[in-house]
Amino acid sequence: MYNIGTNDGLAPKAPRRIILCPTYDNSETVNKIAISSLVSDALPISVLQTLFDTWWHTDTNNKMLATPQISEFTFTDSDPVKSTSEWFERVMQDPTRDVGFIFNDVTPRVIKQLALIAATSTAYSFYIVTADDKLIGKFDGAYLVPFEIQASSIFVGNKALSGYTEHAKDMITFRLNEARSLDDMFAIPISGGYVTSDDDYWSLIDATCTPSSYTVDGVTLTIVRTARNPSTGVQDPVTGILYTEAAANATDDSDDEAPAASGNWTESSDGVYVWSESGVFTSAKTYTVQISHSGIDVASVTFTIA
Amino acid sequence: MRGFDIKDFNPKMAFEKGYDYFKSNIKNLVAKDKIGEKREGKWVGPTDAEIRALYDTIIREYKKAQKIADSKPEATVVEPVKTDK
Repeated sequence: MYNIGTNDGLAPKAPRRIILCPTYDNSETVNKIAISSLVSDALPISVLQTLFDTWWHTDTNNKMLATPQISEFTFTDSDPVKSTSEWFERVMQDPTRDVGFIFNDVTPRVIKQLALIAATSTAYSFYIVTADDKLIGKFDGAYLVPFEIQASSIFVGNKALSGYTEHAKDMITFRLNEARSLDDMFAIPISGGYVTSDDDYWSLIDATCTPSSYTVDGVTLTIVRTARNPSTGVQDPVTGILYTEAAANATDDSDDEAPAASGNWTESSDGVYVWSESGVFTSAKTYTVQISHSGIDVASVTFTIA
Repeated sequence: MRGFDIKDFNPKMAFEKGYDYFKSNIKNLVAKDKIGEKREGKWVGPTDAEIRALYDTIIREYKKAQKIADSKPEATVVEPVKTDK
């Protein structure tokens, strides 16, 4: 982890995404990044992914929203775009300026969602992800917390249309809530993901699990995406879950089970998994299914053995 | 070893459930053609000795990874010597 304020040899590159989230509050944990979640001094992208919301979620106030890639970063007084750490220092020293982030050719619904955030009464904050894959926020001892945005200062223009030779430039601007000591600014390297990859900065995909045919000798789990595929109208199956990614824990904490061998876990058809293991479950116990598959968030579900 | 590989097994479950469960699970899987090797149309599983060796390897690796010490030597309890008075 690097302290930008003391300029210990690390010059963060230009911002490539911002991550918007409701303003940090001591009673909330959703937008804080625990320093304890760092692995080898870097933040695994998977930690962020669990915090990301899906675009056009009905409730924008609960989770973080990573923007599409930023093509330019600017001050409103037509200063040249900054590509080095200088921009941090300029902006942080003079919070009375608006700062703008320009996106090229984003979809109308991205603009719509940003406008929704601008219109909400909830106070918003932001993190920055730089071109060299570092997450920048404020360090408060145990957590990295986001920078506050001044109330009602977020502005999102109407969706711009692209011309024959130019991209459509859509811009979000806002103003920092207050000047922050540069000593509080920290950059954490992000591991396992690239700022240029939209897949990495996408939220986990919600999935639903339905247990059936459960006996002491196993269970059948049907796992599908919660959202229907807009092209086909069906819920796509979640395929490729391995035996090491499945578990079932008794709700009374008396029994934690996982398939003992790869042969105990079969994907009989797309998204339908048969866990067959003699005597694995105990009668009259209720089990919670635990699936930990990359990129997928399976809703909690239980089954009770007769 | 006859279609078996150490990565096909969950070391945590092997450790928690013990050798007897591990062995009977393998026998069940071989019976269901889920694991093992097909020879001349028949599924062949590992011998008991091979299962034992595999189990011991899995447990050894698991303990190493989890930093679980092998069974500790029993503390020697010195009984006070009673003397009749």
